[in-house]
Amino acid sequence: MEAAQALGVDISTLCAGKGTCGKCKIRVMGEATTRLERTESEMKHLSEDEVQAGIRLACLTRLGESTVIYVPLRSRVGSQRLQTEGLDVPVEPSPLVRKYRVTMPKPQLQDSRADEDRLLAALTEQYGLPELGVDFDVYRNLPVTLREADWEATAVVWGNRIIALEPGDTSDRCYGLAVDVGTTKIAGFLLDLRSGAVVGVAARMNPQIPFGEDIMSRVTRVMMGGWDAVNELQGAVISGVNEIIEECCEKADVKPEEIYELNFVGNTVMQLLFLGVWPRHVAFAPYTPAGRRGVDVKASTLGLRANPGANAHHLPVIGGFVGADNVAVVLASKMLESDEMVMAIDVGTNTEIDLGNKDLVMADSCASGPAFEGMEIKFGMRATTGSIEKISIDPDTFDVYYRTIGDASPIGICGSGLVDAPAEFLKTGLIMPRGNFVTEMTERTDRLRKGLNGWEFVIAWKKETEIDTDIVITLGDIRELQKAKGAIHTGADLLMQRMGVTDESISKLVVAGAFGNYIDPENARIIGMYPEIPLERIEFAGNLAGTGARMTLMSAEMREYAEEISSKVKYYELAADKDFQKEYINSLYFPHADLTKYPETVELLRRFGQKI
Amino acid sequence: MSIDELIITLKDAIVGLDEDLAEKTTEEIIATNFDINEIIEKGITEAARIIGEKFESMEYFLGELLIAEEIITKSLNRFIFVLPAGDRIEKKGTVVIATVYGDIHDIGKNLLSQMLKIHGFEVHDLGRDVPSIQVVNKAMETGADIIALSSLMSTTMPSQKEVIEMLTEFGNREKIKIIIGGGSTSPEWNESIEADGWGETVWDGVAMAKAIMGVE
Repeated sequence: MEAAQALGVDISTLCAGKGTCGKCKIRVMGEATTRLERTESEMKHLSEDEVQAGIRLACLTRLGESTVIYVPLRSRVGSQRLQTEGLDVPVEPSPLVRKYRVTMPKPQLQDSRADEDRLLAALTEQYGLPELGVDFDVYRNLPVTLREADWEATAVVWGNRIIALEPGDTSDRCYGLAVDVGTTKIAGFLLDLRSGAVVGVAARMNPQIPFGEDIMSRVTRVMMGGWDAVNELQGAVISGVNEIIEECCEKADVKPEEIYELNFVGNTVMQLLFLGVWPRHVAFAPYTPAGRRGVDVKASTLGLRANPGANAHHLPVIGGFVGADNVAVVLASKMLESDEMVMAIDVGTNTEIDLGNKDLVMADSCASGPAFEGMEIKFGMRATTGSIEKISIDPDTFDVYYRTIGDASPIGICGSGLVDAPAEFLKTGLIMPRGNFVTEMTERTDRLRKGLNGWEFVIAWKKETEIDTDIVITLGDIRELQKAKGAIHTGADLLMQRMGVTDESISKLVVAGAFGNYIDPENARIIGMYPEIPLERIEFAGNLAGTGARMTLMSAEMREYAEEISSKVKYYELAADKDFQKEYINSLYFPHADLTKYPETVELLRRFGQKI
Repeated sequence: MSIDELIITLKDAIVGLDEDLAEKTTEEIIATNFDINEIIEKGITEAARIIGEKFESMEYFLGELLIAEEIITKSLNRFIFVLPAGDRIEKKGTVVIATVYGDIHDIGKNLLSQMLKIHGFEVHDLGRDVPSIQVVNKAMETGADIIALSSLMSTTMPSQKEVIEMLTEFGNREKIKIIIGGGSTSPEWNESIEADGWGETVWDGVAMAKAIMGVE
């Protein structure tokens, strides 16, 4: 695993190399000398055939001197459909950075004012600006810059400071970058700060993934590795952002030096790892963040490729498990301005849920896990070429119709397909509400069978696939999906109960997040991912955190508003709720143990012939 | 029905998650001259074993587990309530159980705690986010045979290690066995902190506790 990281080969890992996730299967070729026998953990993830074929878990395999390793397609992180677009909410441009072209009289014996005074006086005269501060780096070069520019220059002003001074008139080139730093994915948007237009978009997998796919694994890594690990993880995410900057700039024909303001959102652990703050305490009860308010720091201090004077801002967070990305979601959804009740669900490895209106918004977070991102699912994968994204099953013949991304032969199933599968099973009577396969159905279809790991249903036969094996959904997969959707439902339901809100009184449900745009809203409701809110009130917003990041890049008012949101939204600690366990277990059922919560879904299932 | 038949009926009622039948059968057994330890052994723990198998094969999930546990606890409490003076449940051993310091995820821990009680262990459940020193103190105070520690978040795994270190410091490491579990843990972790056993499921936990006490 370390060798692969050093070579820049992305091998999938979920458990940060602890040998528990089984996602990093590799094949050791030839007569390689591999030390270490296979351990108990490793054997659990390997079939007999795989052992015969020399398959190992990369994280538990120590390499000999020179070894050829084959990394199967399934173990590669792969190039992903990086869903970056999100709703566009227009804001009145009022950026924190402004440019002022200014001309000054040349100094003479009769006018020997200091260069700084000359510049500031000209700015006051020509633009009515109050006396500004001058960044030290600008100050040091002031005499040279002004003379080389022949006393015509453009001052870049952030707040009440001059952060850069450029020769000539560059006032028509002023850019900013909004970045959503996700646990899995980083999405960046290059904006023209004068108009608010998005001129470039780029996304990358978070380069921290090799250090652990979830945030807790990464914090554990830091706890074991100390400050070196903090720096390493920070360096990784910064390098990812720098690649995004490069790509955006190239697309838009902008130089990185023309970026003067960068605005970041991310969950609270990502905030700490991005800023290089010691992160352990947020991952340890009672899960306190280091700081709640927004942070301003020179981009150059963080090693970001932008103008040397550029400012980097990280939006404020709400609590230990509800971060700046959620502040951005609340901001973009405008729920704190709404008379009616609005619920927002931002689906990810950690799912944040907000509920409220202009009087009160509460937020909680649940560890929904990476199942909907394809992890811990036998043939699960991210939304890349060849992943099955849509499934439907004929209720009479049980023939399966599926669609893959890029219309390629299937290699696995991604999140939207994983929402469809249990919903289709339920509709066609293949599973019961408690998630079990109805084993009598083997009489009606040979797709349902008992495999090596228990009951499974064939989605794609071997001959149709790219990977030379049947693609199936196992009972174990269904259990994982139950846990994921159960966690999300519990988060939504308990917030509603604690606030005394009913399904009917929710005027809008905003579903945001990585696969937000691609999931089937009805199927997601059939499996009980969220409460039974009328479908027409459900809105898919895509990357709403990114939308909020853009809005707060463009507008000083919005940035102030983010601070207000951060202090106003009440964080609710879900796992401490006395009913959490009961509600979670009830939420594991499709759609729920208490069917009275889902009258419409129950009626639909009965129409399909389900005896519930 | 003979007492043997009644016990089998009780067992089947629990496995079949039939609360009413379990309740009715419990009352019928109480009307006889029953031996509590026979009921536990042939009825209740046997039912728990079968449910464990069903959980393992994924036929049963957490919901079914919880229902079964409620039925068992209810029945067991009823037996204990009417237990004639002098009769007592054979105690298999004493366990101090907790979700470790820094972690508040306790569903798995709660299940094991209940299941150990069902199997005749005296259980001191300290709850969640329990400081390591508190675990150690309680174990020494109760003369515990076993400490069971759960940790879901990988960031709180070191708290398991801390308990072991404290116990060693107090010179009690030899007397008390430590078993660990929880989502983030693994057999390798068990080995590296020199705990006495790692379990993936509630049944692994029960089996380890029994093995430590040398009981069937």
